[in-house]
Amino acid sequence: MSGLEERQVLKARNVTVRFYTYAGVVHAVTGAYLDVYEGETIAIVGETGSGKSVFTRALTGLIEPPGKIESGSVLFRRRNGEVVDLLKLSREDLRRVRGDEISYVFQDPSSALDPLYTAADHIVETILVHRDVSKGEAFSEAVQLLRDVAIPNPELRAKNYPHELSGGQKQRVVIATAMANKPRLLIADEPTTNLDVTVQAQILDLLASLKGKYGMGMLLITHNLGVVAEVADRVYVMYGGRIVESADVFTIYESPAHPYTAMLLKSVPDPTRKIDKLESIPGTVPDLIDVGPGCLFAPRCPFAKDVCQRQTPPAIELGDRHVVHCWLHAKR
Amino acid sequence: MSLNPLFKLSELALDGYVKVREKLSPGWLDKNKSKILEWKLTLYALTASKTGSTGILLVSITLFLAAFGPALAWEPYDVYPVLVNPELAGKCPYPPCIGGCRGMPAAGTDVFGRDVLSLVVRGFRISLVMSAVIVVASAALGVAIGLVSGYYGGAIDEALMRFTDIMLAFPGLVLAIAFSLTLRFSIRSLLLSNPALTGFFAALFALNPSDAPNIANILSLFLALILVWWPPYARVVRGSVLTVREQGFVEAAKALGLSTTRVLLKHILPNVMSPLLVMVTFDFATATLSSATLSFLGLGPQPPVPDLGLIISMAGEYFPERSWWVVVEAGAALLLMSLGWNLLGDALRDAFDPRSRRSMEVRAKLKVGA
Amino acid sequence: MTLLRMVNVKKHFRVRGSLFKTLKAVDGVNLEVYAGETLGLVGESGCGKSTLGRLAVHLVEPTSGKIIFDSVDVTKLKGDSLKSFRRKAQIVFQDPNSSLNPRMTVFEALLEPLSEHGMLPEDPEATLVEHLASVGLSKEHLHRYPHELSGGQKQRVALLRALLLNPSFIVLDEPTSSLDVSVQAQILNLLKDIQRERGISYLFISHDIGVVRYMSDRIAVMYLGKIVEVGSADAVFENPLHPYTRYLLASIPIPNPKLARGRRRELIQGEPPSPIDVPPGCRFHPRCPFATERCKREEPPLTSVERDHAVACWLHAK
Repeated sequence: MSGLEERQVLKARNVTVRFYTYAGVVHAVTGAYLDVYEGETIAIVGETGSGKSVFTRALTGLIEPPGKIESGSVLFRRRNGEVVDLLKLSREDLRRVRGDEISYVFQDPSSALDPLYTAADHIVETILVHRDVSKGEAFSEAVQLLRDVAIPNPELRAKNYPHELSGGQKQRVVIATAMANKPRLLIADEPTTNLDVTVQAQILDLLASLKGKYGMGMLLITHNLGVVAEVADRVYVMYGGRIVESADVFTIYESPAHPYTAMLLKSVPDPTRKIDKLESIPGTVPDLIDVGPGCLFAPRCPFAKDVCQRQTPPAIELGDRHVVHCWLHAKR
Repeated sequence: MSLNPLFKLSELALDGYVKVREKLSPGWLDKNKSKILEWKLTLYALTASKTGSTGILLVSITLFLAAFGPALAWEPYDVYPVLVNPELAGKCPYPPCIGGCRGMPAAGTDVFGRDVLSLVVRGFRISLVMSAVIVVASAALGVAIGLVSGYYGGAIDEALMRFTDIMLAFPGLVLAIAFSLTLRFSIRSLLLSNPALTGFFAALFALNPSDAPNIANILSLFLALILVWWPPYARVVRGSVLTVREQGFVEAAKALGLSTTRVLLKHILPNVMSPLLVMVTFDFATATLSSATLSFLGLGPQPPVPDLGLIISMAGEYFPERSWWVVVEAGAALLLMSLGWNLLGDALRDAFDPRSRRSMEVRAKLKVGA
Repeated sequence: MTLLRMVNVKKHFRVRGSLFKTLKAVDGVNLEVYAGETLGLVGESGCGKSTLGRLAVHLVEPTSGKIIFDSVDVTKLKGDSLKSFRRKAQIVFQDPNSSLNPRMTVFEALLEPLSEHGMLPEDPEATLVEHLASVGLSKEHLHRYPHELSGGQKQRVALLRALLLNPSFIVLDEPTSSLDVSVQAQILNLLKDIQRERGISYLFISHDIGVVRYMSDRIAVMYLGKIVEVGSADAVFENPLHPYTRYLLASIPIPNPKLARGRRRELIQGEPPSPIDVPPGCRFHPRCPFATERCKREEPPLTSVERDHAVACWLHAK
């Protein structure tokens, strides 16, 4: 079932994740989808409760009880050309894919690194687990990777423990570990949120250059609309566990079709202009427990119509890979 | 809703209380909805487990007997049947026999011919008062020192903690013996010259005022024990205070210009309460057994006071064939009390843990109001 | 009219386990906040902006220097006069989850400062409900515990708590950093409305420069415990003078893809330094592409370059 186009790395369809808690069933992700091509940077944008983090973890089956991946398919083209559905792989096979062909970089570098192991230890470990090389070779590769992520004096720093490194350096080590096996896809969940803005700029620059060098796809999850504008090629906007809009980055910023996207963009202060008044979105993000039919943004939407409350809007193509889930754009 | 009968019972009691408060001051329910929910959540957490429920049950029995034991006891403690009826002397301690035999109590007697069960029922009061006084006084002292030490830090902290270390090094038993031997006389004269004081303590222990010398014994024991009992409280509270004082709301309180006293009492202390309460509960168990041990060794009250440790001690001479029932019955009472406190302490610790609390909150689906 | 004046304020911490090393969080800051304005304070980790905020409301004792509020030297205040100062100068912290006592309801938390300062209203319940409305909350929130409120709601309560004492100056230390983007906009607008109504001055500390630009009339840039540039928001943004400011502004991601990709920018080298090892001379010289010999030896003072725009840099010294 090769549903993948040429140069397509990932194709996720109809992914639904539910959490069975005492409070009720949390519909964390409903019917989410994704397409990633080689060399592309895809951004998934959303606020708390949008489901973006759960969705990206679900892509490689990283969901633990009480969470459950109810449905969906995630087609992935492996290095050897084989196309597999990640959600149907055995745990053993999934472990082989993670860290090797699909790598993660998470938000907090301090908790991603084990304080008892040096920088090189982390990188060496991931190399040895996935490939058949000697320890010595793995170590020299590790030093080279540290050099690639622009850590000065990599031979010395390789032997440093996490507490001896700054926040930016720690995140570089995490990135080096993620890149160690030259993955086909790098998934970065808020990789620069905890970092200073100058360090953030350096890290984003680094990620862009590495992506070019290794020809990999990158999936960037963030709530920072500035970062998205800087690095993303295409953007998916999530709200209430669903994709509400997806388009290339220029379209999203210049002509957003979904009211949420438009209002979100207006609520972010642009540092290059003097703004008189920020437009805020009234209300709060929805509670995803026992979700009913209808558009989840309707209670806060100034354009909400009757049908919005009753029926979930379908995907509507606005041309040139611009898709929106909103009744406003439905043709009569 | 929980099917737990104990929870249902306590919830009913709480709802009743809520109704009364609402009647007395209308609008009270609205204002305190969140608080009532928190109380109910604590009740639910406590009764949710078997250990918790058992603990509550045992502690309730302890408290009930401590309160009403002396009134319910069917025999006076200071009358020795063997003196009244000399022919009983050789036969006592009289073994138990179900259904009663020849006018002797079913639970058996001690060496003086007193019904053991009646003595034990009275003994709850003495044990509880003893452990309560020791624990509460030590906790109060330890908390005060721990609060000041932890909050102010620096030289004050150093000085207080070194003092605490010194007190910790004191051997409690030796101190108890020393105090018991030396202080009891001065306390005795104090009590004799102050009948009101004597009367107060007598009522507290449900003893006769004429047993003043024995009361003096107990009081000297208290002094000794409290002196060595408070340091762990000071340490634990200080540790908690060190964490709590770094919290944002303490800094916010300072920024609002709140006085240090207010910060200590309204912000730091309530957030230190949970581990403290758990510690106090466990400590009740320890204090019960410790005071019983000291009485057993003869440092506490003397006959005829129905102290459980003393009763066991006196039965030692005839143990095991001629007095096993005395040891079993008094021992069971001690076991019941300490087990109850320990189980309750376990349940409280789980009930106060914020994480398990929040997850229980949803499960309980608690409701407040009519 | 100057409301707050900080004169050569320093705050040094001793480094544990070392006799000689000190952490120079704030190392000689001269700053003024005028009545009714918002002064934005930006900088990265280790620059000392949070410490400076706390110094401004005298939550920490300065190692040296003067803090003059309303013509009174705050560092010399004690007892009742200190308490009266606290009414006028308040602070709102970054994390609303820890700045509210989890064991107090909103009602109790708001009543407490009023009670302490002898400002208890006749009908506390009704008065507080009115106050709640002024920050966008309602009666149903009054008797709730913090854990029953959302992040945005908690921050509103924290803000109201600071406003109840009728301050003329509030330090806002990253007030929206832990909130969602859409909630952030609500809170920022609320802050602006309150300032318009009551004429309160704000010291707005944030690492989010877009937010600072939206909120501030004037901006100060901090680096390693010192102010390197200060001026009106427009002046600093349109014409950044200090090399660090230029790097800082160049690093901000612009939420406009055409502009973002169209520009070429120089990124700063290296990491934000540690305030324990402060370089001699101008603190920025190790990372500055224009550093001269003088920069390595002498520390440049903050000098006015044009109207309402001062910078501490030898490149701009007259």
